[in-house]
Amino acid sequence: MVDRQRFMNRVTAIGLMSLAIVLHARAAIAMEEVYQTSRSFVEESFPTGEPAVRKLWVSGDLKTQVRELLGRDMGRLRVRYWTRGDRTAWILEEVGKVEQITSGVVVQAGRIERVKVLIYRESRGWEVRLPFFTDQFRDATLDPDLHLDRGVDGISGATLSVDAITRLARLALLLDRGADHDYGKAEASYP
Amino acid sequence: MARLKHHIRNRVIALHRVVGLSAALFVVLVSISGMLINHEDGLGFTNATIESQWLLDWYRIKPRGELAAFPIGVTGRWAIGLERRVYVEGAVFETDEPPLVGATTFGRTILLASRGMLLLVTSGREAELIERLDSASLPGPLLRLGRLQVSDEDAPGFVVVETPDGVFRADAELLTWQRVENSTATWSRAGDPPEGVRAQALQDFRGRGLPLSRVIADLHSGRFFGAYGSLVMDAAAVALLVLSGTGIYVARSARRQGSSRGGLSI
Repeated sequence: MVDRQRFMNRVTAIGLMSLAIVLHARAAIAMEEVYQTSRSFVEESFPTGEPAVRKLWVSGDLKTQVRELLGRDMGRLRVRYWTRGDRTAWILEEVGKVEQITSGVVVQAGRIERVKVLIYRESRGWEVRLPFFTDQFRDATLDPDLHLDRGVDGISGATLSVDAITRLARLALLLDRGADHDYGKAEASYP
Repeated sequence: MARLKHHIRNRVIALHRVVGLSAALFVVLVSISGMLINHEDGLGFTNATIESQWLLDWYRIKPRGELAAFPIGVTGRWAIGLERRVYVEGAVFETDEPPLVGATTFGRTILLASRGMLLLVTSGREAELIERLDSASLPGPLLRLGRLQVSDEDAPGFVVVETPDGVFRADAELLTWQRVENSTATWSRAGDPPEGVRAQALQDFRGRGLPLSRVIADLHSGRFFGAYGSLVMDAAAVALLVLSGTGIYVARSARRQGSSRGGLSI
């Protein structure tokens, strides 16, 4: 009788534990989190004065390189960026798993100065916005194979978002290189 | 004591059998859908969408909010805004938030405005996204979009937007904005599109509104079957754990019996 009671207790415990696991594992609901507006990011990136606005056509060799980097076309024909001195700021988007992550990247003299996640729309992987992750990109440059010159530590459970932010960092460096060396057609207009 | 153990073992075997048979269908469903989810990128499910009408009806896929329609200049084309999407003759573009507040042309470029975003699109047969202008490139939240004609009728004029802070005019490159006083702009006005255009946009919305990956995930979690579906799948998950427990119990019990009879001993 004692054995039977013990058995039933064990079955009950297993049942409750499994229910807790199942409830915990329920899919989270995807929500859009705006951490900073792109306007605020651009203003913050140029504290010494107002930057010039320019646009870069993604065409020719640059288009080929972007396709190689992203594994697909960029989905737009040109990109707008802000520049002052040797610094450029880019607002770029890339899909994590199913939703786009909007990030701001500041490049100075061909090196990343800052990466910031501005809008996060995925249900998981929001940790990529934290400084312990984004600080890894500081001073990174692009090697001839269009990869960063350093490894980036991943985040458990946020692999796709980590990959997306890494691609955006590489893309910003590539676009910065294109703007500086006229891979595409950089147009300038000043007020 | 031996009789009690034998009795318990028989009860556990019976429980194992009943639970196993009851959960079999759900286990098959969870297993197959789980494998599909694991390989959804390789199988191309992430970007695939469902066009089956009964599934779209089952999910009650229809746009939240009103449809907003604007004629695109004098091209005879329409821009249809449904939620965060804008449809231009089959091409779809994502904005930041509904509703669409205006559409116009500027040279060979189509402009589509939502409150926080201005989309620049090619005016060719297949519209293609040129650029998305967000808050960093706009003078403020957009209330209206229009054109400011200059005295020379051949000149393209200027693109103007109305924001809570006033009316602003873009330069020819659409890079910078300048406040305009006493504007005599021609503002883009919402209209009633032809029924075919409206129906096509709704069809496109429904077709793009239900990703295949979502259906598989819902089958896996049970949400596909409604509010109680996930509870049924929870019960199936519990049943799997019970099966594991009873299976281990029966296996150990059989090993002990074999051992006591001088048979199998590991």
